[in-house]
Amino acid sequence: MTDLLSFFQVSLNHYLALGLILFTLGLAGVFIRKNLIVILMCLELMLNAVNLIFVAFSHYQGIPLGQVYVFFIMTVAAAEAGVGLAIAISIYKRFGTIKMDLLTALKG
Amino acid sequence: MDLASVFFWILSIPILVGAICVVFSKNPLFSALFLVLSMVGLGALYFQLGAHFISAVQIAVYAGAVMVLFVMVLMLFDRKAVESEEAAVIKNSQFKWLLVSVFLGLMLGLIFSQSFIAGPDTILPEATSVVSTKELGNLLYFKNILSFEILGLLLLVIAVGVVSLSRIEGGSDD
Amino acid sequence: MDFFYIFFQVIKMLVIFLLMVTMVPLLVWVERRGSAFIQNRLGPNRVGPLGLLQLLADAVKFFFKEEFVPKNGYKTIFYLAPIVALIPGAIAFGAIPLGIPLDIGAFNAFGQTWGPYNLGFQSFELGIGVVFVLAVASLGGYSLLLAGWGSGNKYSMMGALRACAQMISYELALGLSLVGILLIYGTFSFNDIVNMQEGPLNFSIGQKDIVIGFLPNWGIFFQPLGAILFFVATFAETNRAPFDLPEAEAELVAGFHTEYGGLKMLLFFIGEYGHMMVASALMTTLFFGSYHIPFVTPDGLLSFLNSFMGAGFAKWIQFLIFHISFMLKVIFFLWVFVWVRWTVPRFRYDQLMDLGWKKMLPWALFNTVVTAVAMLLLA
Repeated sequence: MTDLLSFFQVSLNHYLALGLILFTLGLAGVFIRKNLIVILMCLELMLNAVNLIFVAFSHYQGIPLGQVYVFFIMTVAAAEAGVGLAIAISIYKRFGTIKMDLLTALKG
Repeated sequence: MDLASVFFWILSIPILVGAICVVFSKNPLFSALFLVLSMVGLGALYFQLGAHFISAVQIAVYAGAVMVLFVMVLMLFDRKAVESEEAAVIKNSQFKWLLVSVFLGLMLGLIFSQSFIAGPDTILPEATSVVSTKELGNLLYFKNILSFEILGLLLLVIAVGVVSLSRIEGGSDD
Repeated sequence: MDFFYIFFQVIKMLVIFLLMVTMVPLLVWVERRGSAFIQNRLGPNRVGPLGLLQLLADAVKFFFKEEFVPKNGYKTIFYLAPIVALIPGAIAFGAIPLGIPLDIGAFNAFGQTWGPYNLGFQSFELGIGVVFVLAVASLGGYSLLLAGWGSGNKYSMMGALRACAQMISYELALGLSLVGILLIYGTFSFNDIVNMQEGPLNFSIGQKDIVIGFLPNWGIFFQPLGAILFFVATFAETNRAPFDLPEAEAELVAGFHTEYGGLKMLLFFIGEYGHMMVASALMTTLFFGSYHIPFVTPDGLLSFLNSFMGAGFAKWIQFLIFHISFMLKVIFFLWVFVWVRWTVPRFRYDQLMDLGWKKMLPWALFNTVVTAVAMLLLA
């Protein structure tokens, strides 16, 4: 019983595990899905997982610098989403699809 | 159990459900909406972790701007091009699943075998770890000003790049 | 964190939510009667005194409308959109203080003394209040996008895309226009901002303190340009005329809510008016002294009231007076929303984007830079 209670008592490890599961789900999505937009979303999910781990470490170690890096990651993620979506739109205009397994030709 | 634990376990449900549905939804629009759910949950978790400003920025930037952009772009596409039958793809990729689960197992084992905090008695008290916006601003603008400026430059380059990318004419050669 | 503390918090949240929801029918009445007044008509005047009960009749009508989902639409998303419309306004409104904090003295219940409580008149107090409200308000775009996509209809889709592009564009100007005033206050917390606006206008240049007795210490006197930019941007954020491109009747039938009727339509209404109320409350709190009354201090009013009634009663009257003062200011701005809607013609889409990106954003940036430089030089 005490084992169970200590499992439910949240520590840094729990946040790390949650972040890891999110990261793995994002990774699986990038591997498995064929839709470019969904792949971009899974990338965002992976970045979010990293952010969670940064914030958790910053909280438990008492160092606010981790949050500054979260700030930077967010900016880069927003920029990445913008470029990714612009590329998706131009691919759609060019080929009429955004399924990655159909885009096999090296020369457009 | 303390309040932090209760919040963690309650919030982890929408976060995980959202993340799982992002990967497994057939319709990308549902993926995007579940990702929003996941991100709002993460924002609440950041608040719980004492990162108040980051939590508000998470909701404003990720849920309010980036994901709105995703949903808008999905709407610009033809419905048929977007809604694809991907269930078969998800089922027929056992090797990739194996790879991913091995990665997950190894990392989880690493986390729980080598606890990053020596014991429950060394956990820092809650009150010390609420980071004020002022502290964050000082860190951002005095210690990390170079990274901040570089990011500004990056954003400018990206803005120009996105505009030029989206001006490419459509249609194929043949 | 004892029982009564949680009990009072829950009561407070319920009261504030109900306050917001019950304002909506009154606003609909103001909108209809006001438009009639501006256009030299009568408006709804048959049901009840001044047509006030028209809303009740409308509500009954809304409840008994047929449930309807378009053939090409997505049922889930179609039903989800009106619910999502309600959330941002309701949550954001809860973070704004609507009146002076109420002190409840210690009392006995269940054979125990429950300590004195100091209850701020807001659902939850946050150190990052302003950022929180802006963040939650930025979620408003989803309901429009979901409604447009879920309806399976080209007009709805076009309306939704327009609405969202407009909201994202004006969010920049909205956020930047607030930077100046936040620099001056130096805090995100609503309660600190409210407390700073008490008393006569005073500021210090260098070592010298300057007090201007005939003006209240409101944000508008420090940031007139910021206030104007903010108010214009909120019109675009709430999708109201003259920026109501998403529901331009002549082009798009009714935009994103073409396919909606009955109760779902009512929820969209509540969402839109909730957005307006949040915008007006922000305007009041940041630029017009929140619940403070010019030339009257809370303590002065309390001692004046104490002179002719019991102390316990005087406290409640004081609480009520300050709440009414806040609500009067909010109602004034809501009336401006209605007033502008029925007097200014709609913009063209390219004009709207030009105004947002080429005029308001540069002016907001200019305002920020000037404020920052002035604060550096005069400090």
